[in-house]
Amino acid sequence: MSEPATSGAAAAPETTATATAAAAAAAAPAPAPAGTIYDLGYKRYTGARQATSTRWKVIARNQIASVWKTWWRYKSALGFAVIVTFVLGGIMFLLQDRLVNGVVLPGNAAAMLSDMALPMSMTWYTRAAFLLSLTIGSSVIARDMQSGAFTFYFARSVRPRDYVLGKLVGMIAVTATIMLAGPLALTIARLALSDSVDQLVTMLPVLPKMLAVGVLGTLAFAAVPLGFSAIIGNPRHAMALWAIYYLVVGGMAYLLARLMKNGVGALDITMAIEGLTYDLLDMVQLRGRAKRVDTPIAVASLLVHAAAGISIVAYRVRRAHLAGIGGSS
Amino acid sequence: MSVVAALGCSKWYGHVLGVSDISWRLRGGIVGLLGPNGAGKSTLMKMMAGLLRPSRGSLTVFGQNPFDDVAVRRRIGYAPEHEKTWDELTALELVTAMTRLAGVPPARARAAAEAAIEQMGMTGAMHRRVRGFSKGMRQRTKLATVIAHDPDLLLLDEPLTGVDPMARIDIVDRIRALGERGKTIVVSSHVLYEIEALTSEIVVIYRGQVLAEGNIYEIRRLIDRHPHRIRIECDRPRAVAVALSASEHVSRIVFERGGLLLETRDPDRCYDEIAAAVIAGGVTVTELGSPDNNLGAVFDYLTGGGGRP
Amino acid sequence: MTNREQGSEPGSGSEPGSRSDQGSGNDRGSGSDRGSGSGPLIELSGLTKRYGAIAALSDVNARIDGRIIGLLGPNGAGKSTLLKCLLGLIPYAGSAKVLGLPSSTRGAEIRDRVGYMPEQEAFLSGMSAVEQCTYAGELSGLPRTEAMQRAHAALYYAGLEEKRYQPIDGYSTGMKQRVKLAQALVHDPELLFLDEPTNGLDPGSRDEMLELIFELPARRGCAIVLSTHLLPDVERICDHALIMHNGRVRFFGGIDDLRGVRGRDFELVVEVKADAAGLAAALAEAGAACEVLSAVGLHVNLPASATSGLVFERARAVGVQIRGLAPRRETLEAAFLRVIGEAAPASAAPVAASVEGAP
Repeated sequence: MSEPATSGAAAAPETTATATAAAAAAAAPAPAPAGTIYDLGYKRYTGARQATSTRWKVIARNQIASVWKTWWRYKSALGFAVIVTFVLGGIMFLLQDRLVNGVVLPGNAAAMLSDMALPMSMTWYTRAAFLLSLTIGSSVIARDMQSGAFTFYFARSVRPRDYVLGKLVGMIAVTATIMLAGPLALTIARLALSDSVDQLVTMLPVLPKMLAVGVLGTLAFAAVPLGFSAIIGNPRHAMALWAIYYLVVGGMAYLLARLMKNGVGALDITMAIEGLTYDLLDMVQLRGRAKRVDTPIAVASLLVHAAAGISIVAYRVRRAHLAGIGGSS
Repeated sequence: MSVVAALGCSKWYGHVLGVSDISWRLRGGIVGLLGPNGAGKSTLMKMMAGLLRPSRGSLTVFGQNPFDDVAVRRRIGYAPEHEKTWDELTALELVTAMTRLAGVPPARARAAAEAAIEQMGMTGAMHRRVRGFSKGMRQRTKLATVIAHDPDLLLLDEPLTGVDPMARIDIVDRIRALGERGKTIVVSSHVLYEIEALTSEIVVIYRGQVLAEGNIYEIRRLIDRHPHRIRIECDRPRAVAVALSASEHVSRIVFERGGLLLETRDPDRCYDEIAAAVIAGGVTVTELGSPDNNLGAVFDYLTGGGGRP
Repeated sequence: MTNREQGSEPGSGSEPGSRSDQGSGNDRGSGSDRGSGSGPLIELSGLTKRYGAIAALSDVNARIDGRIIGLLGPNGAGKSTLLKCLLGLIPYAGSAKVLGLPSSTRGAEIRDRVGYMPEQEAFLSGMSAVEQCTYAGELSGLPRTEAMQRAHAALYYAGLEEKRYQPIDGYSTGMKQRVKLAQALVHDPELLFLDEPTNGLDPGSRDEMLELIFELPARRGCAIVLSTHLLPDVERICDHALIMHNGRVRFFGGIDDLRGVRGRDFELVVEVKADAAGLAAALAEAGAACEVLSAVGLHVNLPASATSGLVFERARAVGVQIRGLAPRRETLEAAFLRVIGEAAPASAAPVAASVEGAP
């Protein structure tokens, strides 16, 4: 291939660079056909590993994701809460109408009813939260214990405290979508529907109060079922135990409260939450259904419940976290 | 009379197939029951134990239908693979209870239980709670419950799972001793070398049917599809190969590190020719053998398993 | 006998068959790039763990290294306790270092670099294999996308390509074992602990699983500690063995060292078609010491300066067909029992069965 180039160059020594270039171009061989096989071999991971202290975030995220994935368990409770919000919000909206206000209902009744919607909603939100806790919350840890998930977690760089924190935060987040978001949405709606800016400003303190109740309620409905789910290693038994505690023990507390007219009613979580709400909002329950539960007792009850739940979880997880690692011998 | 006789026996669970049209006779001795997972081994065992009734056809044990006939069930001992025991009981209590359930009168049950425990070498531990037992001891206890009522047919499903090597040898010996005493024993296991240690008679269940039965080596001989392979490791494999390539009985020669592997359809003649080649060539053979003549290879060829041939 | 290929070509089909003469077998996974420093995998010094009055581990000293190490021992020997100590999950006396890190203080780091495949089920219900492995990777410190990619890679390796999006609850035993293996691999460990990986698998799947495990050091660059009661599995793929008994290490070293190196070619075990006694007599005349085992098997000790050719010649002379010949080597089972300190019962060896039953 070089011959033509050489002969061309020799034949016309005074040819310009063009000729040399052309010759050079002619001399360069056409590109040979090429092919490549890539090495799909294994590459080691040389990046950084996240610090152990961040494991709980992974666990919390996973908990939330797995709850969201459930077909009917979470979404039914959430749907329930959403319906409650819309219904009560709708009622509040309707009561704002002048016609209804002055005509159908006497004097201040409409406003009163409108206000009443907030604490009443709490009763309904607790029902939704209970539904959620029954279908999911009270079997979370039991299911992990039963399926051998502890071996999965603790043979890795997950410490019992990471696991407990992750599960707790996850369930708090999930419960908050009902027990905190609901009241918050309704409160904002109520504030938005106020007649005047002055009324708005007067009612503003309601917001933090409802938030506080929401937070305490969330805490209770997240931590206590979680505690029950850690007591027994069988998900169904754990659910049953939680249901018994909430309904039966709570019911008995309610009855005792009516009879004895003291603070034992706080033992019932629902009563504590309801009572707290009415108390904080300075309202009396319609028809004076139950004895008011004093605020400090109610708050204490909810906090103690939550603390007990968390402690039980921590204790049980710490006890059982090495089970299954190392096999039978 | 055969110990077990199945005739056109099939079993379905709804749409799920257990076994399909099995006609088979078990005459006696120790037999290994093999097959891939889901092939129907457990179904067959449960039918023999009288826990399941065939959907079609018949399966008789000692001439009777074990599902209906209580008397013949007393002659059968079935040790399932997974068993939840009452961990609170001591070994003796557990075996005694199971013995009574098997129909032995209460007066004799305890003595029978103690004898069975002794036979399994558990006498020292018989007053301890089952909860603290290792896997080997649990398996031995399970065996004791199965033999205590002195059955004539023993059905053992994976009796050696999780058992450490020392206990394994011990239990294998005891099972063999039971076989020598005239009991018929069917052992099902996935661990083929355990079966090999117990017996040379096997039954292979595949896709719900009996695929092969009889002596392992006879079955091997019958598997035409896969020629026999013989390995020769020596100092001059090429020389041996040259000599053997002239033989019409050798169908393939493959060179491997240190030696060669040949295939033949007539191993008998081939071995003679190998000897001749070795002597003629003055070759020093380090190793000679057939990697084929074991249960693993037989099972593989029969079930076309994914493992290496 | 092939030497085990130590190359790293994917699918090179290296035969996990027989042992090769590796001398002391101390090569730390040549072909597997571990990159974790040059110390041994596991270093134990005075390791002791007591539960009340019972010593689960008593003054254990060992430098453990190798490619695939079999961890053997009777129930109650302390294997489970050892694992928990190595992972830094329980307190202990003495020192235990894994990959050069002390497990009492840096246990979490060790667990990020070590994979564990448990014996029993260890799954989260309701998740698919991919989700589970991704989660496993994240829990070992990998960022999410990295974890996802490696989860798929691990599941491909384990052979679960098609079913990996389905929930694990519906898997068969074989598939569940594979997921367990993938879970242990996803975070790119340098050391793997496998606990009875072939549990519940039928013979075909067992072969596949052993094959997967055997290829791991070459393909993934990790070393393996295989804890099992099945000695043939150990014989097949392990190059070292760690034997424990009563809380102490009774042996650590190459499998060949355990069984006696193949140096003594004059001690043979011979298999014939028939008439072993006749061959024995003929060989005895030639100066070989023989012991007849059965109608078709015998032990032969060749006289000095004789080779195995003598056996063939004598056999032909008396009309006996040689079907098998090999240097006499202790079975792993016998070696194991010897180490543990109990005599091997005569009826134990499956070797005898194959000799008797051969056509």
